[in-house]
Amino acid sequence: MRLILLFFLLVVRAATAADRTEDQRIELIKVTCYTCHAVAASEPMSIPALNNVLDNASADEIARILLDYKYDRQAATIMNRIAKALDDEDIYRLAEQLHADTVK
Amino acid sequence: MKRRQFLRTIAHPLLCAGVLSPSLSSCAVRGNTPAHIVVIGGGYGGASCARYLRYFNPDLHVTLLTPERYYYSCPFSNPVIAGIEPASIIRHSYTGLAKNAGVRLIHDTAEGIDPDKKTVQLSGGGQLHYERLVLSPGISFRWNHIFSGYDREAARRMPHAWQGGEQTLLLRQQLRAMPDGGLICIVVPGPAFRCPPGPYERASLIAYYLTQHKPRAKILLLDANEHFSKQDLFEEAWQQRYPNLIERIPISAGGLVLAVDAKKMQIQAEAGRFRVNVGNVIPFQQAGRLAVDSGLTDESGWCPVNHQTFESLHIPNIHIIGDSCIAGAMPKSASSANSQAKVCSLAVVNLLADRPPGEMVYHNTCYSLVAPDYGISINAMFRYEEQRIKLIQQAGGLSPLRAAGAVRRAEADHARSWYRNIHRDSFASP
Repeated sequence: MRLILLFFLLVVRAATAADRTEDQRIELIKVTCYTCHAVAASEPMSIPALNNVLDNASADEIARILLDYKYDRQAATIMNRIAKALDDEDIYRLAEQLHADTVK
Repeated sequence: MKRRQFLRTIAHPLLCAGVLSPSLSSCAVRGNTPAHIVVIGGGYGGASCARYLRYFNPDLHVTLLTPERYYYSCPFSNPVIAGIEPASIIRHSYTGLAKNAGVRLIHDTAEGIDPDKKTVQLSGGGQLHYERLVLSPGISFRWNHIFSGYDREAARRMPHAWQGGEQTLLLRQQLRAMPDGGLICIVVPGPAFRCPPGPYERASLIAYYLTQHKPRAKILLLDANEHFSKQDLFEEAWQQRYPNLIERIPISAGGLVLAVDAKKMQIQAEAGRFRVNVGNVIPFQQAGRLAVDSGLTDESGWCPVNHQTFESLHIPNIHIIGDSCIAGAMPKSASSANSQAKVCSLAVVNLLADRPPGEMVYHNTCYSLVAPDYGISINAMFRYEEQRIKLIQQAGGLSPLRAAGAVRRAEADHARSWYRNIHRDSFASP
């Protein structure tokens, strides 16, 4: 019984560790945004603050903005070049994290 | 299994993996005291690292050790030299890191590191103990390397202005004082050096200043390189905005400088001897002095590191980020330092919790101003793969050639916005 419990816990641990690594990778991408974008700013900025772009947007809407950059459906100076580094799945997960921040 | 044994053999690893608790901060606790991380160096790398260590684990004790109360940045020092921006724009306070990020600030100089005792000796007396140490010591100059006659004393007459602050203002003052019709010479060192597009942005903005105030003066670039960052974009812009004002001599045409005589204001290059009115001599560079003195550099003068964690390949528990480290294809820039700081912070937090460092993603964006209304950019994304920082091929790139004026104006505005935002991000300022 003890061995079964140990095996179960180790499997859960491995799965959770993998999820954690993936969440951290997306979080690292998220904080990369902060280099160029202010998280929140009251004044208008040439590179817009994230709150000015993302507030009131759903995770799906945020993902669509990023996908439009990735697939050149939306013109930009460098966002198209950056978004191409991300898999579509990355973009959806990043959008979820960005959205979660806006509703905190 | 006894309860204590269960806790030791099963529960603790599960806690660390997040199975039993969403918070992992306790895993970075040694005994009853949270781990203490010391960060040395108050530039973009060090400030960002101190901030993001606390971001990824608010329970960590983080001390930022930097001698000055203000940081004078190299980014945007060129617009200051050209009189486009006030000097105050490159001065940054550390108070945001203390107030908004909970970082302890110590304004002192590290005299040395004892990696066995894990201590940093302070010049003001006393020492700091660390669990892990992060160094972001920037660059130091290789005086009298390749070309003779250039040392600290010579830099008072022919400023390098490659570290922000006093040297920036000296070069600006010399530009203002020089006669119309004079010659400004910018000496560009060989690789690797901080901010690869910097000398060419500087030439561009000095050219802008000359068109406004001294239209008969000229700029000469004596360059120890054949090619340079954003070369096609710069040369296109020079042709459009500053025709016949900037002459560049690459290394193949004799651009390598052999000797400098600061008293006579003469520069001897392979292409000949030049008498100049303003000499901006940027010396060859290596890792920051503390990294060199601590045995963290290799024969190149820079610090080899594990690309996933930025931990030194020479001394364990010491991480090196920013200009001093060898980071594959990442250039030595403020943006790279900021990105490396985030990666290193995450790695340190995970290592303290006995977890794998993480899957790392890195970024660099670099804007250059050619004129106040003319900006260009280069950017790249990287990932950790096969034990290296590797460029993500399908991403990144340069501003387009032959772009409309609106695109150049937008990128000039973005450059100013980027500068404000990286400052906020790195220094936790409001």
